[in-house]
Amino acid sequence: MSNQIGTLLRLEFKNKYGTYNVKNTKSWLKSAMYLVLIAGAITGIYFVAEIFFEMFDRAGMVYEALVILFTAVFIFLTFTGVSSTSKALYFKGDNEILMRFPVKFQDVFVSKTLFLIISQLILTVSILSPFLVAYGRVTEANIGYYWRIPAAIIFSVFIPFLLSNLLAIPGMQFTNRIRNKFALIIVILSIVMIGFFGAYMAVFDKMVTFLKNTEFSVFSPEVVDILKDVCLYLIPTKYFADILVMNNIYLAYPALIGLFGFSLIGTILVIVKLYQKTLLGNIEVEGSAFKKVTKNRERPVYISLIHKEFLEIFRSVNYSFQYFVLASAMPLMVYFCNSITLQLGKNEIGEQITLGITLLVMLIFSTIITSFSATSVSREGNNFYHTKIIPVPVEKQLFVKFSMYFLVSFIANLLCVAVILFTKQMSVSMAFSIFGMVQAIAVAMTLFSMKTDIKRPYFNLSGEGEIVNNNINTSSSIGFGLAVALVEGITGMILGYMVGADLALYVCAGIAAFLFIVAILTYTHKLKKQYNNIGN
Amino acid sequence: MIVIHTENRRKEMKKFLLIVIILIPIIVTVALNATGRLISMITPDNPTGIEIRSSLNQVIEKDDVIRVDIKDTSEFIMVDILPLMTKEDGINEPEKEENNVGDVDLVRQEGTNKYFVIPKKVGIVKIILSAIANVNVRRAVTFNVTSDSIENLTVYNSYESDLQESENYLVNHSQQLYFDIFPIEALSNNMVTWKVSNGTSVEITPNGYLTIREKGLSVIRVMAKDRNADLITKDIIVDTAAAVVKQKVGYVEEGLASNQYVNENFALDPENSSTTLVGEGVYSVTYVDPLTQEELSDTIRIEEVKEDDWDFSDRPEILYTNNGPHFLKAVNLLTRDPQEDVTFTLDDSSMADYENETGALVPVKAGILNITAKYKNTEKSLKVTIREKVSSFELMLGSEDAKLGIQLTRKWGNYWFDEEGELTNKFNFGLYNKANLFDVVWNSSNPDVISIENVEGTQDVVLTFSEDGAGLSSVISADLIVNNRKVPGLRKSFEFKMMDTPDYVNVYNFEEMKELAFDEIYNACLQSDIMATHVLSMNVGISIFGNGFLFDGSQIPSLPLGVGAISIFREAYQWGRYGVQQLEGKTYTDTQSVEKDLTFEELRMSNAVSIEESPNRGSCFTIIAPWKGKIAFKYMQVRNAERGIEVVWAKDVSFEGCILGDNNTYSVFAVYPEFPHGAFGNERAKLAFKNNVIKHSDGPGVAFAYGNSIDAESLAKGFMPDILVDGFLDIYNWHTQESFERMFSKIVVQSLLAYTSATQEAVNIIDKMMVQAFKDYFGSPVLNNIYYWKDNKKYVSVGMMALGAIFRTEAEQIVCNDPRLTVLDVPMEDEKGVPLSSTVNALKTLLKSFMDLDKVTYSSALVCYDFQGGKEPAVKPGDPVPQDYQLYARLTGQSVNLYE
Repeated sequence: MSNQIGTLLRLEFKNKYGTYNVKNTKSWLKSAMYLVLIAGAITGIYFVAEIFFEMFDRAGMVYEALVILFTAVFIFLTFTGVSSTSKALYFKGDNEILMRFPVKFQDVFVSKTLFLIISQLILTVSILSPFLVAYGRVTEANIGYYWRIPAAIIFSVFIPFLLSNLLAIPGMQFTNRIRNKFALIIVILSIVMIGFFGAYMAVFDKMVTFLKNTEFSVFSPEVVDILKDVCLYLIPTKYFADILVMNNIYLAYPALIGLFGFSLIGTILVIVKLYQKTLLGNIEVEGSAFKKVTKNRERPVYISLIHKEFLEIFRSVNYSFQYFVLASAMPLMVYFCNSITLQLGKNEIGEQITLGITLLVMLIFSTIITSFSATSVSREGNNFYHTKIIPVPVEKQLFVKFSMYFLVSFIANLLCVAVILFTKQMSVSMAFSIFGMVQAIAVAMTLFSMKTDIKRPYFNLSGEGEIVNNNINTSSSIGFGLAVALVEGITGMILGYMVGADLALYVCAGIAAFLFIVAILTYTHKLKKQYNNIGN
Repeated sequence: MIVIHTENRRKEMKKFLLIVIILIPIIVTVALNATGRLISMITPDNPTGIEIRSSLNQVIEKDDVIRVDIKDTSEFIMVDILPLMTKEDGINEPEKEENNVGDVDLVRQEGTNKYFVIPKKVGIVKIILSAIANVNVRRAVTFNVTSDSIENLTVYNSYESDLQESENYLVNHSQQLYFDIFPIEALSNNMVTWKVSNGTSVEITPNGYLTIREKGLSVIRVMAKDRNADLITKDIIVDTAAAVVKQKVGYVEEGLASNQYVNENFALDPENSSTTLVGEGVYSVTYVDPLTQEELSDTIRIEEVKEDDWDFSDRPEILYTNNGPHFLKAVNLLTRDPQEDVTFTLDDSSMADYENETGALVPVKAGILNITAKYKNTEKSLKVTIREKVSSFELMLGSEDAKLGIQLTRKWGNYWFDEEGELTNKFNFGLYNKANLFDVVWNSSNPDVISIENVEGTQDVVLTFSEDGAGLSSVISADLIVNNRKVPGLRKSFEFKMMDTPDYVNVYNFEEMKELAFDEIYNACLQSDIMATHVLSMNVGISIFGNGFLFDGSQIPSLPLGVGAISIFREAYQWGRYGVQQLEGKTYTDTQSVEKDLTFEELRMSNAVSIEESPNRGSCFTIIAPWKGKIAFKYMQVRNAERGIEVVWAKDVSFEGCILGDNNTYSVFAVYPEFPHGAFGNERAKLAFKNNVIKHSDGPGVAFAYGNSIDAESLAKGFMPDILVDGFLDIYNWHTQESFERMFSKIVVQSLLAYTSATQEAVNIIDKMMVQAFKDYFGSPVLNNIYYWKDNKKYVSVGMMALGAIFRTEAEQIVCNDPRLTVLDVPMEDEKGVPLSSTVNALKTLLKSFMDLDKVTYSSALVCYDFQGGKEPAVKPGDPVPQDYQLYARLTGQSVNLYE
């Protein structure tokens, strides 16, 4: 490997993981902390994996579970591979910089590709290993099984990687076509989000049911038959499972090797023919540029500002996902989560917990949405100083932001309640009481988050200027929101059980009212001064 | 402060939010579990239901049937006591219904909620499960124990008669015969058929339709093959000697129908028969026995058809599921020869399975099935109603609903409230499953008590209750009907036991109770738990039979001391005094002199969710000033109140079979005026106890108190009624010396507050003073006889108590027939009249000064276990209160086996 490739590779690692100094105690501590976290995560994955395989084993479908696992991992790695490949090879901001340096395209490509492969390998090993070891434990596999795991992992890394390289360019062309179809993007992402969450809740429900009583198969005989039939046709992912369990190896190995060869050849051809051309083309095109001629319309100040806020989010895939997509998906996600946890709660404690648990679920999801307001000022980015000089009072500008957050959370919460009522999960009076409390707390959380961001904004002045990285404001907003949700929810459950729904409702409403008032007072206190202090 | 992002660490927002979303259900589930554990730690078990799951993890509903093969011992069910946080999650020994045909045993896998089902006998078996933590939480589960062997093959006719092999069956005309296979699941591949095994006098189709060919004896045989490949047969000897015609419907070629033709072709003995046309196509054939000259006649309907006309060989109107196959066949109407090349199609293949090769049609689900037979260009259709022959069914009320309360019984009043709120003696009853998929026939064992009217178009009935049935009972039963025959072993019954008098109304909710409380004419018979939203206040009072249901006063906003969830104030001024909500439109008067006996029986009452919330929650029952008439409390369970039952100035009160305990002060608080008193006609009041149990309370189980003017003359007279303790009185109310002192202080303070008003602060001060005072007093060696020593600690058995001091208690008024108990004097002075402690001395001085009373140091009276002279008390401190079944058995005098 040439020096340049090694240097570029080190640069990639530095970008992702930061600097590391062997002589620095902090670096050691940080590394130790990461290792502990990773170990914890792997242990957690192993625990979940055991339950997963035991659940399927009880139904006599443990091999099918392995096939399903490889299919899910394959799809996940391919899709994320397409995304990371596109970003790393084509859209990375540093390409602009590297263009100006005496580095060859091939070196850039090799270093980035190596980086992707190593990252993919680390990710795949971290996720797959605990699952495969758990499978071996559940099925009491022999030692030969464990020796075959590396082969399965290697195939699982390289085949999706190579396929994602093949699909990256078509993928990019597709995203370029729909790049300005913001409404369509929101709809597609919402559907994907709802589908993902619904599937996740279905699996979660099965696993919780299985944990409560491992005597049972959680799958009905009909579902078992369907899954067994489907798994027969999951090609090529069933071959990954086959090489592990020595099933049809005379078909599995050739198929996988053939697929590897085909995708490798394809990738080489794509890169040789198209990489440089595509790279140059992307650099010339700004990230989200599109042409749309619109009329200049004169609107009242308030409406103009709301319009601006809306467009700022609507025209950004990142922001749309963080806000509109989650808000759109919230009603159905609340329904999925509530219907399952409500049944769990009624069996575990009794009907009396309905108020508490619905409150808990709705508040948690509401927290996710309101956390977006924790970057209300930070998102101004390069335009922040503009907000100080325009002839609109700061309070009004902030009120506009608040209005939009309020409107979105109001509609999302209202739809949640409508879904809950429609599916008869609770009575009308209780549903609307919960709506009132959730909305009050949503307002409070919004105001808390906005004020936190005003006190300490995190501007992103590089790249497109979007807040794509998590920051402490968002984390603390979510953390606080979860704490409030837990307090309200558990209070509602305990009081609902011990003294009745009416008193529980009053107490929870009291907590919500208290937070609401405190939030307003906190928000309005020294608001203008703190805003003006930003950047001074 | 601004932070500008220059590092590019990958902490992407999207990934972060996705991880949070994935964690949401985990957070909610963990919060749920934690809450459940917390609640279960701080509240007592309160099971509300039982959930049963099959081995396929499917929830078993009330009318589901679990199928188990007689040889399969690996089948299991999972039984969960709901809510799942219940600590005591076991079940009592299952009860089996009397009418069970089959039998199973349930064997628990230790440490789990898994119960293996061990089949013992083929047939339907219904068992009732009940929770240990609350025996009134019950669920029934039904098993169908099947076998691969046919145990019984029965032949019967359209008149519900089973045909016996040992008797000749007299056949007068063609008819349909049926078979019943038990268990039907044992039938292999629909292999059942009929044939004539001997003789020529009859013919029989594969579907069992019998036609006569000539006079004489024949043997018909029905054969069924079971899954063990055994062939089961049943032979019936048929005798056609008394038959006149061959069949009831005959087919004749067009133009040939005539008396002579019919006689020659359809009469069994044409030479001795004559035929005449009596209606359109209907001929009467008369046969004269040449030997006896006896005349026999019958009719036959003749249809004229073409030579090649064909039709279904059998045209059944109704078929049943789980009842074997029906064979579809087409025949030439004239020759009765099989019609070849006929295809049969069903309009709804989900309703029945049809096997083309054998022609077997096996009904699968209820409904209307249209079958079309097609031959060349002609079609014939057959409309068949399919009904279900279910393996089991349930009534709206089952045996699990029949045994409630301490006596494990259930009684009914004569009346209900209809939708308009008017009283009616009609009750809609029926099957649990309202889908009307199968047929039943109803019966009342005692129509004079309850008569039955069918509701058209359904399987439901309307029961009409007669007032003459008071004190009697009637069993309402439903039998499954297949082909007009009651299927053996498929009968479900429910016994309606009527209240002893016809003036009870069945109530299901608090609104209905309010209606009765308004008029106070009819009594209440509870058929459901009642959640009271405010005090149920009455002027004269009505009797209540609770059937073991709960009258829950925990949602009543305010229950001050002296007010009961059910309050009967006969003195008009008491309403205002206690500020109890009066029913709108009701006139309240002084009804002290109204003579009316009241009985409160089998009622569970609670004023709070737990005993921790019972302080200041009034009484479950408060009855004030019924001077005439008897008040009886039977098999009551009152708990979680400040005082369980409060009776004030009641002349004749009795308690029988009650569980009194778990209240903040007393479970029974009886208050009397001085004796004699004009209100009682100068007679002494009566208070009787028989076979009761006193569980732990913060005060005495039963307290007697004085309730009238505080003046020397009245106080000196004494107030105690004639108190009789009959049968047994189990006392589990042990207090340590410390808690007894606190209890005593509390009673004194409460007594004082009855006559004075004081702020809460003053009350607290007085309470603290009293506790210290009584510490000295109860430490006196003179009172050593009230203490029982266990593990170096002193305990007091506090069954019943009457407070002395200024109140003259008369221990001799207490007659105790339970030999384990004694009535103790708890003096305040020694034999020489010296106060037992300085505090008593100070109290004596204080009271004499302020209240101008002659004597203020009367002894208190205590009914407790007798442990004098080295005797051991029957119940010792710390002994657990028996599990409910044992307790119930003791209270009712029944054997524990009855409950188990």
